[in-house]
Amino acid sequence: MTIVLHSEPATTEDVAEILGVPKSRVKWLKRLVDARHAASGKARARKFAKNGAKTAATKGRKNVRDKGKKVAH
Amino acid sequence: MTKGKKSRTEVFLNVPYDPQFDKLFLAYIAGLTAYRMVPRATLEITDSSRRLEKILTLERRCKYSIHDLSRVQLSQDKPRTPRFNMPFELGLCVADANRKAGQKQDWFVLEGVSHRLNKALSDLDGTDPRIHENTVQGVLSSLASLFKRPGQQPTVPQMLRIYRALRRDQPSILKKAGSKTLYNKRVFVDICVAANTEADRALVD
Repeated sequence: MTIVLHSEPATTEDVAEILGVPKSRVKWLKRLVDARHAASGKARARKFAKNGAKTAATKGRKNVRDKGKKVAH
Repeated sequence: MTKGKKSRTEVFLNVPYDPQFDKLFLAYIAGLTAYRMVPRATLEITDSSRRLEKILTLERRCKYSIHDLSRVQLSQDKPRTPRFNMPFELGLCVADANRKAGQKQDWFVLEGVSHRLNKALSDLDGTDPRIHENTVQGVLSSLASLFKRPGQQPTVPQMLRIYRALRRDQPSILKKAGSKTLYNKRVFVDICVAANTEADRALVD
């Protein structure tokens, strides 16, 4: 049996109100989630630097390419 | 919401409070939140006075109830005793399901292993439990087969994304609550709120 849900979707504020979570903690939890997403964005930016600077990731890729050439010669 | 009126989005979660169940516990929260429902559990009841009455009040608020009987087994510590809380609460819900007209509750049973339920609880013969094989993916797939939200149907990969995010948030939430276990009121409610915030992101990507 599958239940078709026609109810209003619960928002974060609804959940917090029903479960009795204070607003200050809701803010902290939102910050926790946002901080992790922002951090993952920064990590991505470091890996693919826009100004052409050499990063650990690009050096790694270059080395792999050089090794490939040596094998071909 | 009118007092006493059943909410269509609250789900009574009857699961074992056991460290070995941590991953599946988070999977249930992630899955239900992906459907934009509010998980409720007896963890919210902190004082022991008139506990049974409070369990019934909580259960009656919920339109649906989910009962996981996968860990109905003998405890490790002596004296080894079977866990009866989950089947007992299932019994309460079944008995209470059609108590009053217009307050019907839909209840679902989930198990880890096929055919075990018929052996352990033959009174439920004719009820097909969903088998999750004690895996996160299994729990999420079972929820996906139980519920459908037209226009906003979450996929299992989206639910998995919420689950993984919760696993990453878990240490911070435990630290903030000063708890070592997921099974206390503060941790449970915080995880539900965090899951909803994660769902906001996971369901739009």
